[in-house]
Amino acid sequence: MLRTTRRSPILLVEDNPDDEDLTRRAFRRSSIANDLDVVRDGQEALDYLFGNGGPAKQVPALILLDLKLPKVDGLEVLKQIRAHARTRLVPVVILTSSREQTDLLASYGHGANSYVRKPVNFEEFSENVRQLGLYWLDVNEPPPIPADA
Amino acid sequence: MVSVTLSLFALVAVLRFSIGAPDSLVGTYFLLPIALAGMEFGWRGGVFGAALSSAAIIAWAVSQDAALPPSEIVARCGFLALFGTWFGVLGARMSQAVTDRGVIADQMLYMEALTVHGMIRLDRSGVVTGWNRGASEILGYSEAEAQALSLTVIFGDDEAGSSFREMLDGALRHGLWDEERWVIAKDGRRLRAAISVTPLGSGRRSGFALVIGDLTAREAARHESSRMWELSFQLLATIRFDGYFQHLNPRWEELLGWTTEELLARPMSDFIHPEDVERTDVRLAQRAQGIVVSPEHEMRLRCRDGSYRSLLWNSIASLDDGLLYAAALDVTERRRQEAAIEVANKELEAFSYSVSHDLRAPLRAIDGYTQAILEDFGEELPAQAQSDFARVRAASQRMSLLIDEMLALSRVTRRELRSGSVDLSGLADEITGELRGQAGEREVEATIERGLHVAGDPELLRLVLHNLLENAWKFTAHTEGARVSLSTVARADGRATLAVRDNGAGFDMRYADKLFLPFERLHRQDEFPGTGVGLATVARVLRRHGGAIWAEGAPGEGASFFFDLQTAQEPHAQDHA
Repeated sequence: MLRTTRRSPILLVEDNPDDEDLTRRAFRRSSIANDLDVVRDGQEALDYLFGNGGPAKQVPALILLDLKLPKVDGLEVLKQIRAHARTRLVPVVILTSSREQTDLLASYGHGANSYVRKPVNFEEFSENVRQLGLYWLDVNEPPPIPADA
Repeated sequence: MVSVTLSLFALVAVLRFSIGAPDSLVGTYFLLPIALAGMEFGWRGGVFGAALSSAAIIAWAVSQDAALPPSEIVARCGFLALFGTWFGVLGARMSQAVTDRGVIADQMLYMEALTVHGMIRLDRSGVVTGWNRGASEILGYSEAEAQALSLTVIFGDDEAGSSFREMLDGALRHGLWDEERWVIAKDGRRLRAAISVTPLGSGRRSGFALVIGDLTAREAARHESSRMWELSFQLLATIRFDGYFQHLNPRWEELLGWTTEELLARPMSDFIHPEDVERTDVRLAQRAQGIVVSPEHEMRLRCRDGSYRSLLWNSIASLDDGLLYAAALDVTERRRQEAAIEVANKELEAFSYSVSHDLRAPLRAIDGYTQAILEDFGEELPAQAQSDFARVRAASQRMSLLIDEMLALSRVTRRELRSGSVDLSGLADEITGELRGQAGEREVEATIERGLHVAGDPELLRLVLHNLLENAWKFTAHTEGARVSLSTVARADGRATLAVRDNGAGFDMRYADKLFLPFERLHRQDEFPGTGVGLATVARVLRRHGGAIWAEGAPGEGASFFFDLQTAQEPHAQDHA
C-alpha cells in the first residue's frame, strides 16, 4: 500500500523565518495545493521523518532542504534520509544560498535529486519555487513508497 | 776489451807451447782467458774462447806429430768447451748483477732526488748515512747537519708515538715499521708525519731506510672539516647502516637536549617518532643495499623533554664506509606555520561559506518584502513610494551581485591551481563569440592573434581572458568603429608579453594603480556598469601563475592591458594557419 501521494505534504527544512515566509508566499502565488510542513533545524527534520520521541508523520511528497541548519546540518539530514528504507526514495531538493562547488558535489554525492540556489530577487525566487512544485508534484512520476515503511 | 781478451789468449798459447808444460795440463791454462771472455761477452764469449783454445790444442797436437792420441784431444777439447761455456754463463751473470746493482742504485738516487717524501738511510746503529732533499724540506736540516744529528731529536717529542729505537727494533723484527706520529722540525715546529722504516740487506753492512711523509696538509684539511662540522648551523651526522649514529655535530645536543653520548648509545629508532620509525628503517635498509631513493626524507625526533622536532634530511650513502652522511634541517617551525596557514585557510573557507549563505538571506528578505508590499498595497501607494521601493530592490540586488563577485575573487585565491595547456587564441574566439551574441546590434572588430598557447590553469585563464575582453567590449560601447584585439608584444629580453587592447573610453594614467584593486572603479556606474572586481580577479589569477599585469591608456584613447605568466611556459606562436 502506498502511503504517499501527490497530495502528501511538502516538508520545508528552513531555519530562517523570512525565507520560510517568502517560500510560503511563493507557494501561495503558485497553484500548488499541498500542505507545507515546516521544521526549523536538522534535528526537527529527523524527528519529523523518523518519529524519534513521537509518532512519525506521513512521508512527505517532496523535501525542500536547506544545507546550513542549526544542530544537524542539511547534508547529515540528507544522508539519514537516504539511509532509511522509509525515506530512501523521497525526492529531495536542496534549496540554499550557497553556490560553493563543495556543496554541489556533496549534495549530489549523497543523493540529492535537485539543487536550487535561492536568488535574492524575489520574483526569480518565487518563479523557481513555482517551477519546482510544478515539476516534482505534477510532471514527475513519484516513486512508490515501500509497504513496510 | 776484445783486444785484451785476444792478447791474453795469444800470451797463454805462446807460453804454453814455447815453454812446454806437462801434457796433462794442456788446456787448463786456457781457462782464465775463457772465463774473461765469458764475463765480457756472455756464454757466446765462453763458447768462442773454448773453440779458440780447442783449435790451438789441435794445431799444437798436429805440429807434434800426433804426440797425443785423438781420443785425448777430443777429451781435452770437450773439457775446454764445457768449462768455457760454464765460465761464460757465470761471467755473464756476474756482470749482469753488477750492472743491475748499478741501475737500482741509480733508480734509488733518482727517487730520493725527485720524491717529496723524506728518504733517509741509516746504518745499523741509527746514524744517518743518506738524507734526500725531501727530508731537508720536511724537517729543515741539510744533509750535512743531519749526519751529525741524532734522530731521537726528531722523534723525541711524541708521547703517544714510539721511540726511535723502538721503531728500528720493530723494523728488524717485522721487516717493516709503519707509524703516524708527530715529528719535530729544525725550527721546532711539530709536524704530523707518516713514517715507514725497513731494514736494508742482511749482512754486516746492513742498515735502515726510513721514509717520512708530511701529513700537515691532510691534517689541516681534516681540521678544517672538523671545524666546519662544529660550526655548522645545520645538524650533521654520520649514521651507520645498523641504525646507530656514528658521529654527531654539537647542534644535536642543542636541538634535542640529549647529550651526544646518549644519542650514540641507543639505536636511532629509539628517538624517532613511533609513526616515522618504520618508514625510516625501510629507507635506511634500502640505502644500505645501494638502492637509489630520493635523498630527502622527513621524520620527527624526540627531544629530552618529550616534544618532537620535525627534521628534513638530505643524505649520501657510502657503501664503502657503511655510512650515511646526513645533514638535517629543523623544519618544525615551518611545519607549524604551514599547519597554521591550513587552519587560517579553513577559517577563510568557513567565512566565505558563511558570507555566501548568510549574507544573502537578509537581502532576499529586503527584496522579497519590498516586492510583497508593492504587490499587496501597490495601488494605495503614491508614485514616489513606488519608485523608492524600486530603488530598495535595485540596491539589494546590486549588493547580492557584489557578494557574488567577492566570493568569486576569494575563490580564485582558495582554489588549487591546476595545470594544463591553454589555447588562448581559441579561447578568445569563443569569448568574443559569446560577447557578440550578448551585444546585439553592436559592431565590434575583434582581432585575435593565431596560435597563442600557454601553460596554466585552464579555468582561471579563461576567467582572465573573459574579464579582459568583456572590459574591452564594455568600454568601447560608446565608440564608433570599436576595435578589440589579443596579440603578443615582443620584449627586449626576447620573451613575449600578451596584450588585450581596445580603442574605447580609456583611463587616466594617474589612477592606473587603482585599476587592479578590488571594488575600485575609474568610471561612474551610469557611464559603464560594473563592480570593480574583474581586474582584481585577473591580477590575482596572474599573480598565482607567477605573472603580472599592467596597463596603459589615456582618456578617450583606449586602453592596453599587458600580462605575462612567468612560471608557465612563455607564449609562443605555433603555426599561423
